[in-house]
Amino acid sequence: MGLSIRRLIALVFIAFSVFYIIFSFSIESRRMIGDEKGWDPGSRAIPVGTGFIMLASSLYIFTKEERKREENKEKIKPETKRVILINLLLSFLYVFLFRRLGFILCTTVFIYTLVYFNRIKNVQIKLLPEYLTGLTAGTIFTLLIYSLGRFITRYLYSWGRSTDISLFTNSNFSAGITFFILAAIFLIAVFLLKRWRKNKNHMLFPIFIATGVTEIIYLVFGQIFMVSLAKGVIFW
Amino acid sequence: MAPLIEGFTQIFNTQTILLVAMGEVLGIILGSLPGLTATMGIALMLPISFKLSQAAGMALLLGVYCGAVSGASIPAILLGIPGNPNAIATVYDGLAMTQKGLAGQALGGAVIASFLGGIGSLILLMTFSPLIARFTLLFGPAERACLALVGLTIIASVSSRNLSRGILMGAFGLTLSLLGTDPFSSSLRIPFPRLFAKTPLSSGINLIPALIGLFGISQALLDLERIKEGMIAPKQVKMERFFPSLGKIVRMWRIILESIGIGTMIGAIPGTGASIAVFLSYERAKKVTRRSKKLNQLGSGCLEGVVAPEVANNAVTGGALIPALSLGIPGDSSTAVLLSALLIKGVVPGYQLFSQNLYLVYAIFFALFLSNVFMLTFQYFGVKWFPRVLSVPIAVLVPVILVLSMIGSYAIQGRAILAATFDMGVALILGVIGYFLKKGDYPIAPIVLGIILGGMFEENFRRAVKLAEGNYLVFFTKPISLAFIVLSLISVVLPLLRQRRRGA
Repeated sequence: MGLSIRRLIALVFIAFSVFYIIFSFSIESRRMIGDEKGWDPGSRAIPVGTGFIMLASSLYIFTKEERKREENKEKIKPETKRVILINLLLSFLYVFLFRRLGFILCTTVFIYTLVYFNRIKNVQIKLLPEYLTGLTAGTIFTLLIYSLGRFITRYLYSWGRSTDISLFTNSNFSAGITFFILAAIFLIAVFLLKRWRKNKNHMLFPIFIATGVTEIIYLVFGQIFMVSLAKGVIFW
Repeated sequence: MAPLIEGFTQIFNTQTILLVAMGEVLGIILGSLPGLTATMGIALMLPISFKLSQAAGMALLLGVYCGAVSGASIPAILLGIPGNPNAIATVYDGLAMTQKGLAGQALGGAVIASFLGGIGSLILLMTFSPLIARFTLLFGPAERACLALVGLTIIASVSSRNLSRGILMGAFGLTLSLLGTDPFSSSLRIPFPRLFAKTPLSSGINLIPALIGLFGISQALLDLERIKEGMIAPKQVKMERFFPSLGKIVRMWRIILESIGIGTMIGAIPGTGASIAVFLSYERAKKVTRRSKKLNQLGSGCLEGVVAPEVANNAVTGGALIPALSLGIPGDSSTAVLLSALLIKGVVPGYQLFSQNLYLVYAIFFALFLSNVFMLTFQYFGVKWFPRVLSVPIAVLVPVILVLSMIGSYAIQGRAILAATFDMGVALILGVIGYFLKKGDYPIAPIVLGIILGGMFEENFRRAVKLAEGNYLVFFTKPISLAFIVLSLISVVLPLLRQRRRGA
């Protein structure tokens, strides 16, 4: 009989606790500055104590508590497992490539790919050309919308400076104006593309979601809240 | 009387009312987006507040503060992701209500609770400010260490049907909080220091990425398991009633009053924060509902489980202002920024504030009241629209949640790209860990509390022992700390006895 996930986790924690206790004892026990008499318990005390508490409770769970009830939980279907794996794998790639490729590219590719594959029941190799076409179109569409947004923002800034209207140099105001203009353009594009390619909803829907979400996050986090989102290869 | 009238006119004019409204909207948006905190919002509004009068500037900042605290309940209820640590306890019953198709009612209840919590603590702030401030002065390192211990043991016992699992998770959270640099000697406490000394790991693990990962990413991965079902929650069946009836609210009077008291008191103790308050009030509400026949049992997805923490976390806003205004000691990081706004304006908090700028004290009270009114108004209209996020298919919603979670974790570091990317990685790894822990029925909240309280516990524990000249019995010789130790023992022993009785 295999281990239940609960006991398996307890086993992992036993190993982790042992590692943590060894690590805690390896820490140099320094006392706080100005403690000549050595009254401070030192920097090792709490980590060592915590390690032993963790070891005791994980041992208890593994040996005693969990033998009482082994729950039969519903097993995950292989196709669902595949979906979770794809989502996880892409998330790790997203973090890994974020600084190199930049926020705009990474986010567009991430959202497009996941929305595309999460909606398909049977992932087949023959879908690859359609996926790649959509990915290219989505990336271009996002880059167009992003570049237009940057142009509007810069135009508003320089206009504000030359006319001394301080409102235009306010990042919240320019983000708001940019948002409304881009939203209008985006909706027109969605309307036209949907009419033009009625049967390609498979591909168009993820494109719109990827572009819309990427741009909104950029405006809110990047422009309004001044978060320095990595530019990567999109240097403008 | 003149300072009161002056304070009133400083706040109730068109410009300030509009500023508070703007701050409130911004705060609600901030609170509902993972990773964007009230502190960040207040800090961003500081440059604008400098250009305004003292009262108007403070009113704007207070609007952001109140909005962010109440807005955090929106993602907690709808998606199981607390916007910030204030909403951790709201997740339990809030998400369960959403999964039952009662998202609207949960959000409506949270709005009313936030309003009551905010107003209740404001009344306490106005009435008992000097008295509570004097009481909080009794809290030294020993008392604070024991308070952190109470927070840890209570959460370990309430968040799981099994105490050992709760303790294990709390201890795991503590280990995460201890990573980084020793607070007193600055020596490194990371594995393989030669390898990681120059990486962001040397600064330890940030709370927000951990929170987002453990709650947000793990929940998104769990939701993926139901991708075939299409939606995260069943379609809203009771869209016509968003707010609980007056009768129901009245029946919860005890929960509300106790949560206001807990929130205000905990908020008034500097450096504690709302996360202890929400769990203490949740625990109290659990006891109250167990004894009452008219109220629902907490944990099953009931309104009482949303109201208690939401009242408490908004009561913290008023409570945190007590030491800030009367002693010049901020109750939490947000009030620290609020305090700096006052100091930059040349206003010294404490006795001087009450003797020389009494009108400003009244203005702050009025601004807090106005913020709560706007919070109720905006959330009232928003409640009808927020649950619509649940009609988005899982296939689309999960990628968006994943990106928002990662960017939210990234945003905390603001401009340091390397450290921010590290935070994204932390969120993702803890998200995966959280996913497996949830699958094994291990509680997540004790980990977060361990991360929050770990630093506070260690610092105060060591300081207390040092001040007591190496005497570890110091915690038993002070009445407040002894009371806390007894309380934490009760919180551990009682569930054990209850488990035994159930087993027998």
